[in-house]
Amino acid sequence: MADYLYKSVVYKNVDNVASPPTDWATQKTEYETNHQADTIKIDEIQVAATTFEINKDFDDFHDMIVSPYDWGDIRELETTNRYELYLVTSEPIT
Amino acid sequence: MADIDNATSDVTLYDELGNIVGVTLNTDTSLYELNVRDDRLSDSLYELNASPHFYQEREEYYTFAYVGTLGSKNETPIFYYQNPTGSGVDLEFYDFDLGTPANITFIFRLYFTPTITVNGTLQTPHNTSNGSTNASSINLYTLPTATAYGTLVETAVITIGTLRVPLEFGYALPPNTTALVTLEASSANNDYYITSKWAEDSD
Repeated sequence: MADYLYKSVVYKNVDNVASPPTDWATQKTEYETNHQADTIKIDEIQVAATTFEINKDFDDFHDMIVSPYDWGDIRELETTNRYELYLVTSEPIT
Repeated sequence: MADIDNATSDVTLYDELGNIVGVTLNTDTSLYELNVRDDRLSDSLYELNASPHFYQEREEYYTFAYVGTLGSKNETPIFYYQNPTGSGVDLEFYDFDLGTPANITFIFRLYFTPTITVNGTLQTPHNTSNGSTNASSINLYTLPTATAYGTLVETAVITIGTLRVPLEFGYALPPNTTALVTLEASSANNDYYITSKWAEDSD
């Protein structure tokens, strides 16, 4: 049975980022202020061969986090210049 | 005959038969040019600081390494090379080393003569001879803004891992010419690594 991995990114800084989202600073404030405390922090993620990986911009990803999902289901992987956010589901989110 | 291992202030050049070799100076440039094939004799002349002045052709090698993130999957300008008028050198591309830890595809492109509206961030290339005080004569900018990419002259594709793009000095930028490197990713928000190496030939 396949899983679905929804992925998004919130930039912390854009010093070496080409074509960052124009509203990256707003997204950063929104995530750090309202959601970051709820997310599960991880150091690594491995994607299985049976997983569909779907990239979303942060605004669309934000809108997906409604019942039955909440920000406590989100995994956060922090890198040098961004937070990578992951949501794993057994069914696609439409 | 002069003993080239025991330098004196007077040096006469002889051929293998003992005949004095005439020397012609190239005065086309601001420096006198004397070409000598024998390496031992060349070294001896250099140590003598002989007159007329001897100098070797200057060819310096430079490198610039950059780590960045593509926030978009669209083709994006990364490096902008500008060889200014009067630099006195030709930039000759040696290679590019590309890398990504992401399980995606990057397309590398090299263009000549792009139309640039914003140069980007001026960077400092490094001489590949550690400790050399010779600085690059060209301007290298990162993340420029281009309205037209120019003439496509080279492409390469990289998936996860590393890839060397060997150019072996096959592409050159004389003074008053420009070049652009772009990257295009199969998905947004992924890191890349790129190292550019080139020669600057004063011929």
